[in-house]
Amino acid sequence: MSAAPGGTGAVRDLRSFLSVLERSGELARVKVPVSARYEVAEIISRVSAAYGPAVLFEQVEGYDFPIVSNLLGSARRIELALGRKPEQIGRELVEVAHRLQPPSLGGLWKSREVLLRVGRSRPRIVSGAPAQQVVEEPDLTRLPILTSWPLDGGPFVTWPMVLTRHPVTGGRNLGTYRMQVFDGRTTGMHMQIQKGGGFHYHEAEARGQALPLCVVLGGDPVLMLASIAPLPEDIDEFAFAAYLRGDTLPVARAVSVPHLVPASAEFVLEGEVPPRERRMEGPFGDHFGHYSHASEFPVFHLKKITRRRDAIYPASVVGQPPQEDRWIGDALQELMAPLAGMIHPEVKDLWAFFEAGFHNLLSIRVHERYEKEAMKAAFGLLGTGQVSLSKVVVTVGPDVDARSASGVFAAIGRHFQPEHDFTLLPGTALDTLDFTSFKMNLGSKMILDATPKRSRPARALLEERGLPDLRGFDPAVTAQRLFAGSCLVVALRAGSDGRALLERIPV
Amino acid sequence: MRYSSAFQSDAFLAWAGTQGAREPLERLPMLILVSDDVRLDDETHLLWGMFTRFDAARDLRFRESKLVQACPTHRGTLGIDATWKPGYPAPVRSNDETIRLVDRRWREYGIGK
Repeated sequence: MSAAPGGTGAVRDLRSFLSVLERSGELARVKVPVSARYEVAEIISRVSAAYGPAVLFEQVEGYDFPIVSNLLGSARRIELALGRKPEQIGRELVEVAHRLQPPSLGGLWKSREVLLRVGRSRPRIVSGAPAQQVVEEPDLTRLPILTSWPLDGGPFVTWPMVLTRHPVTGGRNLGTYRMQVFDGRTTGMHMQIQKGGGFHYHEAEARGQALPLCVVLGGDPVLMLASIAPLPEDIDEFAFAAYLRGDTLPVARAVSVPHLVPASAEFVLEGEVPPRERRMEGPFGDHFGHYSHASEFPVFHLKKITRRRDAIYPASVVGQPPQEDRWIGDALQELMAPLAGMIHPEVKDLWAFFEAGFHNLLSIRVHERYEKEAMKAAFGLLGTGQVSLSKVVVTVGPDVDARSASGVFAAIGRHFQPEHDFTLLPGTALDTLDFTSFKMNLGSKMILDATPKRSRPARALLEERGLPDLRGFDPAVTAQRLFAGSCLVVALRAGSDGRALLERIPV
Repeated sequence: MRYSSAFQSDAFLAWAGTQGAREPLERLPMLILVSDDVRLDDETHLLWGMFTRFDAARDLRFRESKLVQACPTHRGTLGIDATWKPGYPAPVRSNDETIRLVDRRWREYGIGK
């Protein structure tokens, strides 16, 4: 690894990042007043779909603070934040891991090379932190927190970096969990059971303790990326951010809870989540493109708010893909994908599709050294970190681009035979956002093995013009499309019974 | 032992035969039913419609499924009912009033396009 830092250059906080974006033509300023209720979300949703810029809303009706949104909503903006392309970082980490004795991914984070770059990994405590220029009694009603969609349960903080520590080991976690605002000093805390902060809360609750917590809003964009990265449980996001930027992270002591907070943040909400308290949270229009149901979640009680004097409120908009999270998810996958090959050598690439809400479709490019090694790859990844939440897994051969949906579906057309290549895993843990099984956190997964088989010839793909128009078979059918020569997608009139029709079409 | 005898009905293939399309349908790998709010000509929207609205254990059908010893064995097209179903939450979309407001104000925002 080169000793030179990654070249994040002048970007240290949100302000310097906005300057860089403005110089690069990646920032639009909206000077007319807008409403934080529905209007901003609709604007940002359209901007995202058109691959548009980050947007600074300078005037928000009824609030003193401006809103910045769609901040990391393009590959170029993420590259500007990181100082280089995410896949370069991934390849660099793999190189370091290979130089370790023995080569390992686990040892990577403790290796001298990585620690040197992190600056011996200790955050540096600074005085006069900009994030603490103002210390005040909590009143969230003064923040321009978005209500994005008409059926949302209320306003939600959508870009919170939630800082927790393990009650016993003290290990730090920084994660992003949506927060529904209940009143000026109380919010929901949507800690999902499979994520770091959720584990910490579980430990605290088992001991009958409240979990002290800080919510960081805005600041170093590299830290914002690190907070979403699906890192192993014992990896500190502060250290990972320091690694990404090649420098230590300046921090300050929180004023009311035992935490070190990033000194460059825009706002820090300090407080705690008491044990055994739950409150209905939701619904909320989420990245599966549907509302997630209201459900009981832990509750965050604020003690203090600290902020910059002229703080900017960062908001993300989620909803039907594509939104900002598409770019963040893709960048993190580019960064992490090369590492998968360290644990599973047969895995040459993997890709979760933002179009499907990420977890719903994962493809794995496998170079099989023996028959059905692809199944080992699929099971291995279904046991690895957040990839384990994947719902449909398709394995493809070494010549297929795993990041192309049409390529993956063509592989299904050529090689998938259900009697040999279909595996159903009923009743497993799923993403909290999944609603299809009607059971929270539970549902089914399936693996489709579409790698080429030595013992079976590949089949020819189908052509659209060879297929009949199904509108002639059933009046519920409104349209159809053959996707990638393998999958006939048939649209049904709203209210039709898909299952009944499926049983009448004995294809 | 067969699970889904309804799937063995020949009505559909007979109909396909009258359309001169029995052979391609017999070797169709996958068939996915979606709701008509899904835009089939937009690949992003298509994949969203295909993958956010089914549970594999509930909503899949093969032409033929049987138990061979302890092993469920399937043949033929993999059919998926990925339609929006009663009990599912609504798709996310703003209200008409907001959509019209943003249409009307778009130039004022000065974001472009």
